[in-house]
Amino acid sequence: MSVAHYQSVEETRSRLSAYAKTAIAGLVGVGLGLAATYVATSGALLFGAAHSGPWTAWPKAGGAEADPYARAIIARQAETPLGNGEGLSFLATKDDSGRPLDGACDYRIAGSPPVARLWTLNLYTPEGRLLTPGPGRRSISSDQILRSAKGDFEIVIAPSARAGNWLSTPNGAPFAITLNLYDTNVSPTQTSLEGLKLLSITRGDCL
Amino acid sequence: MARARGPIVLPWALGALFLAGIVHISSVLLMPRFAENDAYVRLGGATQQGLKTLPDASVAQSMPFQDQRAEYAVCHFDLDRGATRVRSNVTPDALVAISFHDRSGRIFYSTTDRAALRGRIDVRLLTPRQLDSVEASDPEDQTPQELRLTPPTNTGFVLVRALIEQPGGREAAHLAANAVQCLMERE
Repeated sequence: MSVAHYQSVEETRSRLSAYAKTAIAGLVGVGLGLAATYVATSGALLFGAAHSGPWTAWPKAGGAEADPYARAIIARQAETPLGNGEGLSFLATKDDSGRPLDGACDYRIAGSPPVARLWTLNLYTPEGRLLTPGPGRRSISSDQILRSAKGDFEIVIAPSARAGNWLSTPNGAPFAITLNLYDTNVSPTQTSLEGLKLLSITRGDCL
Repeated sequence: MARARGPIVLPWALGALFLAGIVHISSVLLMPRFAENDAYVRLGGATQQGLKTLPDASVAQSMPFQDQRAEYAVCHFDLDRGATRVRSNVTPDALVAISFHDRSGRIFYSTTDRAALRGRIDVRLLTPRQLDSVEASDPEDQTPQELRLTPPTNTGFVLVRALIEQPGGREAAHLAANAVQCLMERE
C-alpha cells in the first residue's frame, strides 16, 4: 500500500464525516427551530401582556401593530381578538391568590369594573372552547347583573345552583374566565394596567 | 481523541443553533401566510358572499374565546372582484362592534356603532387603485360620507358582534347583526 493511497482513504473518511456532521447539524437545527415555533404558538400570546390582579390582557393583539408572534398565534389558533376600537378583553386562569381555577370550587367575583358601555363575563375551557352544557349559564353581562340597593354586586361561580348571579362550573374540570369590556375608557394602547381595578376572584369552598 | 472532541463538536452545535434560530424566526413570520385553518377559512372562506349570520355552534367551533353574550355575523371580501362597502344605516337596538381582518386574521380596523361617524357605520374597503378612481370622481366641495380604508391584503373578512342586551335579548341582537350590510360594488 502506497502512502498516497493511504492519505486519500483518510481524506475520503474525513470528508464523509464532515458531510454526516453537516447533515446532523442541519437536521437538529431545522428540528429545533420548528419545535420552538410549535411551542411558541401553541399557548397564549407571548409578548405585550398587561396584568391587573388575576386578569391578563393583550392590548396590541387587537390592532395592526400586533407583533409577529401574535400574528402567528392568531393565524394558527384562528383567534379573533376584540379590536382596539371595540373594547378590551381580559383572561383569568387563576384566582386572586394564584391557584388555577378549579371546577370543584366556589368562586366569588366582586368589585367594580372600569367604565364600559357593556361588559360580559364568560366561562370556557382553558383553551377557550365552550364548556359542555351544565345546569346553569356560562356567561353573564352587566345589564343582567342583580345588584344590591347600593349598586354593588357579586357573581358566584359554583358547581351547584345559588341565588342571585350564578354561573355554573364544569364539574371538577379546570376552566378560564374572560371579562370583555365594550366601548370602554380603558385605553387599549396602554401596556401597564397598574392601578386599574378589575373584578376580584376569591376562592371559597371546594368539593 | 476524546480530549479533542469538545472543541470539534462545539462549532457544529453552534451552527445547528444558528440554523434553528433562522428556521424559528422564518417559520413564525411565514405562519400567517401558510396557516391552513385560520379564522378566514374556518368562517367560510372565499366561498361566502355577503353577510352571513353565524350559528352559535359554528362560532364555538371556529374561534376560541368567543363571547357567548353576542350574536355573530361574518362577511368575506375580495377586492380583486370589487370594492366592498360595510354599512349599518339604522341605529341598532344592540351594541354592535365590527372588526376588519386581513387574510391572516390580523385586525386593521375596528369600531362600534357608538364610536362610528354620526352613529352610523359606513366603511368602504378599496385597493389603492380603486381608491384613486373613487377620489378622482369625488365632488370637490364635499367631504366623503364614508370611511375609506385600504386593507393590507385584498382578501379578508369583517366580523360583526351584536351584544345581547335586555330587554330585546337574543332576537334584537340577531336583528342588529343582520342589519349590517356588506355589499360588493361591481366595477
